[in-house]
Amino acid sequence: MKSKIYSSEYVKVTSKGQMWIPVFLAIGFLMAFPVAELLKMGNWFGMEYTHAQIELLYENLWKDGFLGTGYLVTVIAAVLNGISQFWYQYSSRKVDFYHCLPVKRSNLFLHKTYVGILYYLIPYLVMEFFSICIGAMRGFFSLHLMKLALILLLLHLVLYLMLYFSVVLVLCVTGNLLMGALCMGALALYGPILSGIIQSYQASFFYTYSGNSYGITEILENYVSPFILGYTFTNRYAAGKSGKLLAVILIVTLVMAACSYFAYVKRPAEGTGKALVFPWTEVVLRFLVVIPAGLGVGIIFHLLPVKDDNRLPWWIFGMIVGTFLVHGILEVIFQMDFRKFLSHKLQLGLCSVFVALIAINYQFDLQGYDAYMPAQDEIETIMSNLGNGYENFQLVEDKGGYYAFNDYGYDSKLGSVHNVGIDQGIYQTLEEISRSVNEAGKQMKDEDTWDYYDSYKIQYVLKSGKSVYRDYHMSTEQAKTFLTACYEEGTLKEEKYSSLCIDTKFLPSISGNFYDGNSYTLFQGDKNKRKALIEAVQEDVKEAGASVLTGEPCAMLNLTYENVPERTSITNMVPKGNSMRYVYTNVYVYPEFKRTVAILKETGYPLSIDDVQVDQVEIRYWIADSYEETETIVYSDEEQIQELKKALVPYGLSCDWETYRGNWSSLKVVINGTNNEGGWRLKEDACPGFLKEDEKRARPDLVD
Amino acid sequence: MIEIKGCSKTFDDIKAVSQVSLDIGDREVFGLVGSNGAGKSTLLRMMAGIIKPDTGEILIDGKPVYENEEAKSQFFYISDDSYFPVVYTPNDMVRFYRNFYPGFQMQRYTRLMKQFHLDEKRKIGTFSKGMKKQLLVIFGVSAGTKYLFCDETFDGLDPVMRQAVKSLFAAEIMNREFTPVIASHNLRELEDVCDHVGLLHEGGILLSKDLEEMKLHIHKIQCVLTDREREKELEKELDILKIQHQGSLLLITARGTRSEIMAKIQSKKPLFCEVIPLTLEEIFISETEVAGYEIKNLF
Repeated sequence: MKSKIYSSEYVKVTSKGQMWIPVFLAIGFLMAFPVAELLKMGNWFGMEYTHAQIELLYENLWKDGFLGTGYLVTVIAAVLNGISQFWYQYSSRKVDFYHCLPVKRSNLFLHKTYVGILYYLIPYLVMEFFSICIGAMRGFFSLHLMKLALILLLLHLVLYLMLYFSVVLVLCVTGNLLMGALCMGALALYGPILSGIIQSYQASFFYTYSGNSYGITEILENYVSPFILGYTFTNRYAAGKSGKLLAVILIVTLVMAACSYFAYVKRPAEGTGKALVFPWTEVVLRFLVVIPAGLGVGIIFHLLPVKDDNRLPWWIFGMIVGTFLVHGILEVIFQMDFRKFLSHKLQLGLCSVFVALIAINYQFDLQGYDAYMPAQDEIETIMSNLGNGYENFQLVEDKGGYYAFNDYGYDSKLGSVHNVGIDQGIYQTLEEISRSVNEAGKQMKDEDTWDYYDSYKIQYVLKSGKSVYRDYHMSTEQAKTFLTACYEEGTLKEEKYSSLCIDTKFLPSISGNFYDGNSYTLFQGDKNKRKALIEAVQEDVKEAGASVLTGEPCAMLNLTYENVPERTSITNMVPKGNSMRYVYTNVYVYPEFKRTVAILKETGYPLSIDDVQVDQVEIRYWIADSYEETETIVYSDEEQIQELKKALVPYGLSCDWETYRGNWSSLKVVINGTNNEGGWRLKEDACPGFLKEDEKRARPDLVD
Repeated sequence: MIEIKGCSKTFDDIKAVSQVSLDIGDREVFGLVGSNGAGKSTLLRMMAGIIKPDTGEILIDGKPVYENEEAKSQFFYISDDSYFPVVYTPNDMVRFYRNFYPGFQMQRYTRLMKQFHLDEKRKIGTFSKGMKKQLLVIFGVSAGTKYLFCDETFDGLDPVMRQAVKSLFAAEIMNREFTPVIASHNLRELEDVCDHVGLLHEGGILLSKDLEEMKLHIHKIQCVLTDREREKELEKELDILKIQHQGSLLLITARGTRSEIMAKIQSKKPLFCEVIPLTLEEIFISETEVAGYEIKNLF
């Protein structure tokens, strides 16, 4: 005897009372597709994009835009359908009702999945069809678009099934509402929370932690939860990097489908009402929850004390309390009996041992996190935020009057970065820095001088496609050594100055910072001169070695290229025509830049402090520990001025690879009888002794 | 025929059913009795293929019942605490059940709904507990299955309806191959409907016997004797289970065949003597004592 559970009649009768789900989803898809489409199109037409541009945007809407909006509804659909179809397992009455029927559970599972897919697909198809019609009415219809619509449908269906089976699995292995809700929360948040705990430990115990998640923490953050995995996929798909991830999603979907199927078929009816239906899952959950919870509570207590000395005992206390409490709470939930708080002591003991081992690993860095560096032959290149400049792009080509920019800012987790390349020199320098940070890190933290060091983030881009991130607290000397190695390698120099190849016709003006602390517009109205200046800089840069580029600049040129034509793409599209880009860059001019210096000298602006008439220097020192009272000392003696001039540098010409002194409230410089508005700094190694004495007198608490 | 072979079921540390072996023949009303927690519902849920026995097996017409569509299509299960989807009417339920029970008799259903004065188009959620029980019996009978498993089905029915249901079962047995299995904690509910009774106690089956066969060996007689001496003699001669006085009327429950007992009483020259029907409880007093149990400890 075969039941007719796949018949339309049965679907119809079982849908009674559940029709609100497809109706609700239809409203969701209406918003996600037709309404979003109308809004977008309205904006595009309103902003006067060309037809070709709108075609490109419309195509992208089907590739990318709808994937995101549709995913949101897909998540809701999977949760609603999963719950509505399998929720009955939490009720003994309903279990009796369904499981006494002459139908195999395997068939019942397939039927419920079939209904769940119907509830999802029917509103989806209707609304997607409306969207296609809206596009066609506006003149956008092609087989290619239909193909995109089909791909979109298939992608959403795969994502839906992954989420649906995940929800079903939770409902099949849990026996009551409380546990179901907890497991559902864990399904969504376990990975990110665990990643957060690991990163908190890395930040607290490792000197070179960069704040970037990669490797296991990145996997936990972006791939462990099916809900977040789907979200990550929609983002990656938009960036065209979703091939492998799609394969992962397909595998996860199959695994979830198989697990939920077997959990449903093998689920004992008497499990209803219990926390977990399969007793062995209690053991797995206990370890998966108690160990991270113990560590998590521990790290919270570790972060609470203000003084470092107090952290260790509070950390241990937190771990003990966290492990013990969470284990007890889990036991109470599992067995629904407060008296069972202390049961499964052996497992509690094992969890405690794991927590202790992990804690010891972090305390003594047994995994060698700080000392770790990928082998040189594994590294494709290195990215770093070291070096002045606002550029986080590389101008990669110039074809047919268009410029192409390789923007690191979109992918990199390091902020404003440069590709610094890789060679023996860079590798050995970083190895040395890594060793020194590892050795000096504790001392620096103990002496509370950690923050005096500049922090530079390094991304080791590996040939395998993975990345390793580190943050090295470098002394200024180390930073200079690293920068020198980078310039010697060549990639940094090439990329940093790549914008100089932009045609000067896009450079309407040039301004420069000079040694009087002021900024001036150069060669206004003299196009040829500006062009000559840029050509001179290009030549000088080409000839300059690393020692020149890490020297003391005598000026800085601020170059703002306007309306640089860029090939139109979805990310840079502007209405009415081609994309234009503003490119801002600054270039230090070193005394060794003979050609450039020669041209700049024509302007008459000072290129050295010796060219500047300093009348007096006024410094307001903080008094003692107070940050409210100051003592002002004016240095106007000729001798003092001459000494101070050796150390004075306008703020705009200061560099990362120099050390400056600055324990005062303000520093004012009077030039030619006028108070200079720009900021000034004093080089540490050239600071006169009388200044240090005055500073010490005002702030006896300061340690030199 | 339903064969239960050495079935056991344990929930955590509680043994709900222990090594139960039972045969339920065709076309008989089988009563499964026992106190609360005796394991009746668990046994029925195992028979209905809802829960799987830890040990043993249950065969319906020779086929194992768990996860077997064919075996499960042979019965209709009415649970003690039945579930109906909130918005369903009886007609919706019929449309639902017809997908699982191809032999569902629509005409019979319609006729029974009228007989029981139940509205086919009213939401079941608005029905009283008794009405829901009646409705389930109607579904069970109309489903056209060979077996009907009823868990405390008479609980909640008023006496008139109880009688109507009993009549319905009797009519079904007369007209087709139909075997109701009725679990109840109340002996009185089953005494006038069952042919065969199985007694469950603490998860185990104490006895499973034909009611008529049991009745052959125990009788209840009311008589009036002329003096006290004869009563004492009778007490010695008969295997008396219970003796009661209602004024001069003597009520004797005794083991033995009817003729033996009557002969011994007649020999005492009673002023009045007649055999009166035994209640199921009284029969059980006899049988469970044979098995070494005190009936008062069972119910």
